[in-house]
Amino acid sequence: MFAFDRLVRAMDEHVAAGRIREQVFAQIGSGTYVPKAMPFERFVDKARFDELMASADCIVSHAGIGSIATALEHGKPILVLPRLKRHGEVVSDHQVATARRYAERGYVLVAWVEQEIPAALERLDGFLPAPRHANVDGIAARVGDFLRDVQSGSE
Amino acid sequence: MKRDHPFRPLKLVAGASTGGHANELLILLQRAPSFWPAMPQAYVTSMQIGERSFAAFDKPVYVLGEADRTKPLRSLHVFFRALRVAWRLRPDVVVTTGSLPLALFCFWAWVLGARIVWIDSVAQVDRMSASGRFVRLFADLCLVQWPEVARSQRGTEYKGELF
Repeated sequence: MFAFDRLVRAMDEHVAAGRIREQVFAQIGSGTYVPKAMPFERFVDKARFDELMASADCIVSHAGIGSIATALEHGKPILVLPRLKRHGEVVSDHQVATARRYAERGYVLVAWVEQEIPAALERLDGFLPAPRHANVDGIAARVGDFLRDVQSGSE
Repeated sequence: MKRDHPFRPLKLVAGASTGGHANELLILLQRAPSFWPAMPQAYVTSMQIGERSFAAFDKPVYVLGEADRTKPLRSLHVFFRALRVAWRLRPDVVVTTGSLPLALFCFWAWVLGARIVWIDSVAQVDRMSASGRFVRLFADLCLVQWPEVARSQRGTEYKGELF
């Protein structure tokens, strides 16, 4: 798991300064910043992760599709801070686009800079994520039609 | 291009890079038995560690190696590995959710006569991936997972999303 020190440090500093009063638990990955004010683990296994996810009121994470999908699956409001290329956190700014698109559909809230996190967290308190129903069958059916066409020789 | 033996069962190969792309493919494969005339006879992924994601299907899994646009030498290595795997499998159809290693595999499979189904990642929210835009040149079916992307890219369809 890649480091995201900017988010870990910001969360830790907001907790230390009392700007975040909620009980926080962080999974910090391979970063070099070591939190002082919030409990953390570098990696948690799947069982522990699911347990933490179930007990959480809300999630704060990078704007990765996996994290967003996991939070939505569990019906938890999620605040995302996009990883940025200029900080060496990713090779392209695709998380900015992801955050913008999911936010405009009402799925997530976004903090564009670390300083916005505490204010965004307050908004997250009353934020009900729009339900997302992935239409997997739509894709499976289209591919199935194509396969049948190939099989019958009409494609 | 018509298949030479119409009564031979369809040789279907599914593939995805290890990680998010593989997760998307696995979600699709869960629903495939209800919609597809046949399940894949082999799987292709990018990393050794990703092999076990496909272990439950009890079919051979081939590993191409990791590549991205920023590592041309690695990509060249994967390009030739993809040829070897495509030569060995000779699929009729390849279904993939990306990324670059699978695009290279699709290219060789297509050269060897396969039909290509490319499903661009849900992470591509504004435009098709670079790999997708390359594969689109010869793919038979290109699906994207946001209506906005389908509108911006000719020859692609939006039919739903994998998550």
